[in-house]
Amino acid sequence: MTVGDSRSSALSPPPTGRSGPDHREVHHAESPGGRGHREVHHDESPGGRDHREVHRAGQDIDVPRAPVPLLRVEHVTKRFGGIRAVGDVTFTVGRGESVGLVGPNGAGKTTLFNCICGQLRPDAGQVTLDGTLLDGLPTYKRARLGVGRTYQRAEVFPDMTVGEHLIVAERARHGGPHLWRDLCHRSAPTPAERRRVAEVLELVGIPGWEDRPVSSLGLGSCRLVELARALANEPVLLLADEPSSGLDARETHELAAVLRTLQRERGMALLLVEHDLSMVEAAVDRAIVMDLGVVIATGTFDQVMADPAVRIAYLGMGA
Amino acid sequence: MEHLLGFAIPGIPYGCTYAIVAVGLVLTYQATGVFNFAFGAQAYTSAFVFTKLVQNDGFPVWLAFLAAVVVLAPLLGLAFDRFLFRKIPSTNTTAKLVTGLALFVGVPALLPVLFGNQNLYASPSIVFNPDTVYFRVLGNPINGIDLATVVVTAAVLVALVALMRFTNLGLQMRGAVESRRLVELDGVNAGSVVATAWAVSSLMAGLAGVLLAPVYGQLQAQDYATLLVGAFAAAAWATLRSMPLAALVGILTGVADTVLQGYLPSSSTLSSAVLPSLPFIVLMAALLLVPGLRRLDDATDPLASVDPPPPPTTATSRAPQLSRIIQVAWYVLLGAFVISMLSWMPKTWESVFNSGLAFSTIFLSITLITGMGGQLSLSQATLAGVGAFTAAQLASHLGLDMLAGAVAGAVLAAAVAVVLALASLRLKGLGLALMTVAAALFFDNSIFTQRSITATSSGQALNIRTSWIGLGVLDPNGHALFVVEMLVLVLCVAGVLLVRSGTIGRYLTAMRGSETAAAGIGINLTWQRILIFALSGTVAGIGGTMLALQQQTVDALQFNYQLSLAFVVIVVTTGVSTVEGAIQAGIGFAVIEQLLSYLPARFGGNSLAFVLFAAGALTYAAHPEGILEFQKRRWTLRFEHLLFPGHDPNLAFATPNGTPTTADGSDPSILSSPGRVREPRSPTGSQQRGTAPSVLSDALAGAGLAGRHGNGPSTHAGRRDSEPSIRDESTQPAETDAASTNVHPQRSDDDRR
Ligand SMILES: Nc1ncnc2c1ncn2[C@@H]1O[C@H](COP(=O)(O)OP(=O)(O)OP(=O)(O)O)[C@@H](O)[C@H]1O
Ligand SMILES: [Mg+2]
Repeated sequence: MTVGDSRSSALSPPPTGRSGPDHREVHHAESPGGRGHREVHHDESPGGRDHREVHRAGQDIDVPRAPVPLLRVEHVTKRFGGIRAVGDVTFTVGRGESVGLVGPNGAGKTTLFNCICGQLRPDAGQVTLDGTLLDGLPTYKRARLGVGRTYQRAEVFPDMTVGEHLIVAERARHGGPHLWRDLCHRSAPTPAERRRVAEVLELVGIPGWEDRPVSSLGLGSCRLVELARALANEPVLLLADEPSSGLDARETHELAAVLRTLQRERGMALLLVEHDLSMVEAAVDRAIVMDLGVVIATGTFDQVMADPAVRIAYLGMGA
Repeated sequence: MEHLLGFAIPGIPYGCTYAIVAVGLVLTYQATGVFNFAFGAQAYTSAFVFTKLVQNDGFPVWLAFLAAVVVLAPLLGLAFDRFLFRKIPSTNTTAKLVTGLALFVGVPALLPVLFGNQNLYASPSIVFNPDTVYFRVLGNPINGIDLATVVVTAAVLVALVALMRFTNLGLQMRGAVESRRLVELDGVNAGSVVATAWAVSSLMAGLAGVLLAPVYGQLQAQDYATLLVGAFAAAAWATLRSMPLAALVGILTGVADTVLQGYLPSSSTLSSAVLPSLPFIVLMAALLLVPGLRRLDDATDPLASVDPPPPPTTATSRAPQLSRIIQVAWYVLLGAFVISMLSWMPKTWESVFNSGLAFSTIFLSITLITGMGGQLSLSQATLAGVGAFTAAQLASHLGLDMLAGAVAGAVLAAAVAVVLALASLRLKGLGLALMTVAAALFFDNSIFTQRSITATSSGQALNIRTSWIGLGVLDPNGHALFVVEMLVLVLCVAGVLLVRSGTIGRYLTAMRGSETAAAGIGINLTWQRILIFALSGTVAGIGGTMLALQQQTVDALQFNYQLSLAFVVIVVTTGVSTVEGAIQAGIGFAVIEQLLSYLPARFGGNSLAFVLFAAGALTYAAHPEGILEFQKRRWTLRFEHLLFPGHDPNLAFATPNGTPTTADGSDPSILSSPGRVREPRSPTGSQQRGTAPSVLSDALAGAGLAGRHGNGPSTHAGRRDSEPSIRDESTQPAETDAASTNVHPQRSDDDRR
């Protein structure tokens, strides 16, 4: 409602020119979280948007382009009993940057996501979003700071319609007391909210699905609903955990395009876990490869795929 | 030291009674994955049959023992397994809990129905003579009962630990709890393993029942129930895992009890308030402190994803015409009811319906916490009691009007509920159920026994006096009480419906669907949970005062923990997720009790009502929406088929359960064709109808599950047509593609948790 205006400008219809897998020109220095990439592929000035995001995260920094990267993961370690699921992982994600996080099964990608969004407490290390230390903040507060998330096993609310998912997400982000409004029968979705829902649904490619109950949807559609719900929350950083599982090749391709669009149009940073490497290739600026809980390579997609350590990790799995 | 031991020794046999039951609970949980709320009922059944055979039918003790313990007890367990628990997926904690509760309430009520009301005293002992003092320890006489308890507990413990640790069967049992299917992949017949586990643990329940029977003078189901909850504490400290630890904590509880009894001055409040609640305080402490208990329900079947997803709820598949007819019919019925109550209704029945209205209000609190909040709370009667006692005491001491007192009572009940919510923040499912039942028992034994709470300052019973209310509410010739009860119920219903259809209702629906995702979008789970507890406590407190007004007295027995359990069982039968479910439960409970009072006492009177509702609740696993709700929908659909052949409810669902549908979304207009997707409920639907009365009518017309209000497809289609989508070329293919995944029959199981 309140943020609606500033955002609807960012919500112009997706560009007709497909942002296919043609962005390999974005190449990334070894310095993780380097700032070079913005200039390369952002034609519009990100200044205003940055300002909004900074404000959103509750910061009072007046510098239009903060020198800090958006997400900083430093020395994060998580153990489950004897298993070290994530061991001393450090990387950064820049504002508006799209980063792929790949690695064989059990590499610790989902665990790392859980540590970032607060579902798990890391045993060591810290996570910073936009200069705010996230350690100790509960999941819901991190969500309100702008960490959006989709889940490896699609987590939708089975008793709701698609539209309700989005409205709940939008309201939850603002928090605030609702009991009195409810009792006064003033909790109806406002026209602005409904417009926003329609916009987000259109953005992810399911326009007009507001009234469909998710219990009638297939797994692939549920993933899109999850994505739309995360977007309704206006994340500055989206953590997408294997969004393509359950989708076929063409849908995967479309999803990559949607993610690209979001990143470009909204300046949303993306951290993408994905086993479908063609999708990763299409959707990210930079890739981080994990195996057995540690980062084994970072760089552009082509660079990491050429890395011998990555080949060993994957072939070791695949063989 | 000598002194201390002198107090401690008698505590050991007493603690053994807890120990043997706790070990039985751990065994059942370990071997079947069920926390057996029916354990006490099974023990009571064997004890009842055993005593009856010996005393009334002249059986020799050994033969009666054979019949009641060796034959009957395992048969009972096998029946529970075969007909109830086997059908519940191991991951469905709520269904297992509700089934256990239904047995807890239903089985002891069934015995008087089958055998008539019998008072059985002084059950015979199976080993040792109860009256002989065999020896003395530090001057404490050890009689036959004490000796038998200790010896049998020790023998049973050793035998069971050996069984679970060292035999192949024990290994298979533990495996079968994890996943029956996984064990079966190894070529083990998991069904028979679990059945054996039930037989063994039920044998144990029977043994414990018969063994402990002589301890109690008169054989009563309550004693076994209370003993059972006391044993929960020991089982909880052992994280439902270690039998020796459970036994140890059980014995220590007993010892602590006698030692405290010895040291505390007998007249102090501490001894009168704390001692009777000791096991429940120990249980609450375990739930607060033992971290393993928080993860009890996290156990998941590794093969659960093989299960087909549960069928969609038939919530709002009704044809709009039929909805309208039913809605009108409900209005007519409501009008007729009100007019009848105000005119020709005989006084007896007016009073029955008044109590039905009060019960309905209390049951609404269960709709809030269980139906909407998704939490099984077993202390709703206690909260009602807090409300009633507060209102009555304020009236008695300060001369405050009872109705104003009801507000104060509601606030206090809400406060108690909030404390309960805070204490159980990290618990769910079984843990929460145990915490609330412990709290209820704590109130029963420590709070509602204090004369300063249950009696007037002059020590008389808290009978509601006319002077406390005014309005002529207690005038036997007037109808003011009915009007008050009706108004209060209507207000509560309206409040519940508004919350349900509002933002909080949606948050709760989200949380029931996936707590992970709900937190992930910024919902403060803790706050929502505290809020729903508070709301539920408020409504329960109001309902309690209403019940007190109708019964014209406030008595701890009206609000004891067994009623809390029974309330849940009753509401589960009629439908826990709808407001109409609560109303039907309240009215139905009062009416059925009254009707049964016309039957000969031989049929057990009130017991039969509990048996009926318990039988209904046993179907919870198959029909979580409530068996009554289920039948209603079934018949609605049948009628619909006859009246409106055009409306095919089966097509009303784009299918999650395997059959591919044609609702592939490739043509969005298909959405507006009736019968392709479930009758659309626009998120705005509920709000479009403005006022509370119309919201009420929705509920009365059975508008269905949480937060959903049917809106004719026509409006929906109209809106869609009038708003041509402004899609861009580039997203068009994405839309059709994504939509076509709709055909995928499989969907993630996790969605459904
Ligand atoms: N809750 C848990 N308890 C114990 N071990 C866990 C838990 N969650 C994850 N693990 C272990 O941590 C390791 C990393 O798991 P994680 O799910 O993070 O991997 P992943 O990279 O997401 O794999 P996948 O590609 O299969 O999703 C695995 O060895 C896994 O077994
Ligand atoms: Mg993963």
